[in-house]
Amino acid sequence: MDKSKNLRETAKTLLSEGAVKSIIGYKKGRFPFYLQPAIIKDPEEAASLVFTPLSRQNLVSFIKKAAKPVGVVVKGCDLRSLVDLLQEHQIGRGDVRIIGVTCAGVLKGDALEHDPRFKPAEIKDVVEDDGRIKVITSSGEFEMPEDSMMEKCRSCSVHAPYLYDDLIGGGEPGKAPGPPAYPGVEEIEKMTPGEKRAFWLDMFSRCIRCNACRQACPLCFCEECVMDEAKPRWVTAEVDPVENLFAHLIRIYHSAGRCVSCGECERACPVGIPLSLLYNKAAKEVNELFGYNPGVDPEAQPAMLTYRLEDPECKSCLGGRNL
Amino acid sequence: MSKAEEKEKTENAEKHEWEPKIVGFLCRWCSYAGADLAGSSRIEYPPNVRVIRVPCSGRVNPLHVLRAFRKGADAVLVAGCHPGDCHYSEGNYYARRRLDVLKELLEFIGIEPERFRLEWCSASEARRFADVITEVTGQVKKLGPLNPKENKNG
Repeated sequence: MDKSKNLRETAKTLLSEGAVKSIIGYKKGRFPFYLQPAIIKDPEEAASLVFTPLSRQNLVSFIKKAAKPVGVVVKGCDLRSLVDLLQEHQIGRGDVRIIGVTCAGVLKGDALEHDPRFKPAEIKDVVEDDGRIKVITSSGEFEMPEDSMMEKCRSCSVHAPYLYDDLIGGGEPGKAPGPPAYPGVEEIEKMTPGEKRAFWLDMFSRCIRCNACRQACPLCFCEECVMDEAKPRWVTAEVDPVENLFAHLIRIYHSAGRCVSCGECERACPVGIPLSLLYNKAAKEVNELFGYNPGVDPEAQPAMLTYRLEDPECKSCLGGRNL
Repeated sequence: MSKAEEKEKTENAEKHEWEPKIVGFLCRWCSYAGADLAGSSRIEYPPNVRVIRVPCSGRVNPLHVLRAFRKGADAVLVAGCHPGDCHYSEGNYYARRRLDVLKELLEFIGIEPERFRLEWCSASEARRFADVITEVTGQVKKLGPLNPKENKNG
């Protein structure tokens, strides 16, 4: 089934019936190898919407700005961040119409640019065909290898959304996902403290403090960010590896138990810092310590806003062994 | 080098021997009073801890801990009431959750687990407070300075 066609029909009906005031979706960008987000209000504009393996961006980030009630096109992974916003009362369930799309995976940002088989200028379209990603170019059709997909797609357990009002792409509705795989975290854990410090300081020496990670994050909704706060000045805008690392740590800590590993921060980073590793580490610990998997149950309380009497005793405490 | 010069040199070296800076966030209802009792009971412990009094261990924002490390602390200690004894009923339960995750994150970026500690210590446990400070100071002395401010690799 053609998802784009299906999506356009649904969007048009929703807008013309007045079920929603606006719809956030993807439309073709200036070049055929990327898509851009679109917020549409007119039923006629629905014809511009598409959904392809280039639909990488998590559109949930735009929800706060759109006219309500708003329809939003979400993949299974994006849905988790929407569930988190519902949990934290940032949007009411009645104000959002979830247009879920089944998705076989999306391409990495640079997958098409660096493919030796064709030039970016030759690309005509990118389509999903029975779970495989095909690139249609002027010199023929090419199937993309699995490692051209985003890291999160390769270990994805939410190909079909599990909570939606409309389902695009047909198929069975998804099941609530289990904890993700947290790729790459274990390799870092095995390093010695000195190696870890050297690794992260090297990574964060690249950071230019553009805050693109924060802007792209669907869960960064604070009116005033601690990074911008002037009094007290928690972090300076100084570009220095240690300052950069601590500034990021604040954000990472803030999203512990909320971050749904959508990978938007890493995708938005212009200098390629592997931010997902840090966010995944926080998510992994929250899951291991408190058995909480964010973005699954809209009724659940986020892990850091609650406690249980039987929580594990802090690993650093003397705990049982009294001095 | 004359004997007097040599003696002066060793004395100077001793004077400048590195001492860890430990920031201690102490709950005013228990650990702070415990530290006070340690003082009035003449229990000795290393003078390396800089005490910051907080209303509850639940008041300690992980930001405070990060800030302490950023500003040159070699170790951070958070001490509060034993679970179940919180003056505000549940502050230390929240602290336990938060700081557990923070500790894992700190470890992940290469701050040794010995450098951050959450500890339960009641107002009567002066001896325990002194033992904790002694233990932390000893551990951190072995690890050496952290000093992320000046040393790129440190």
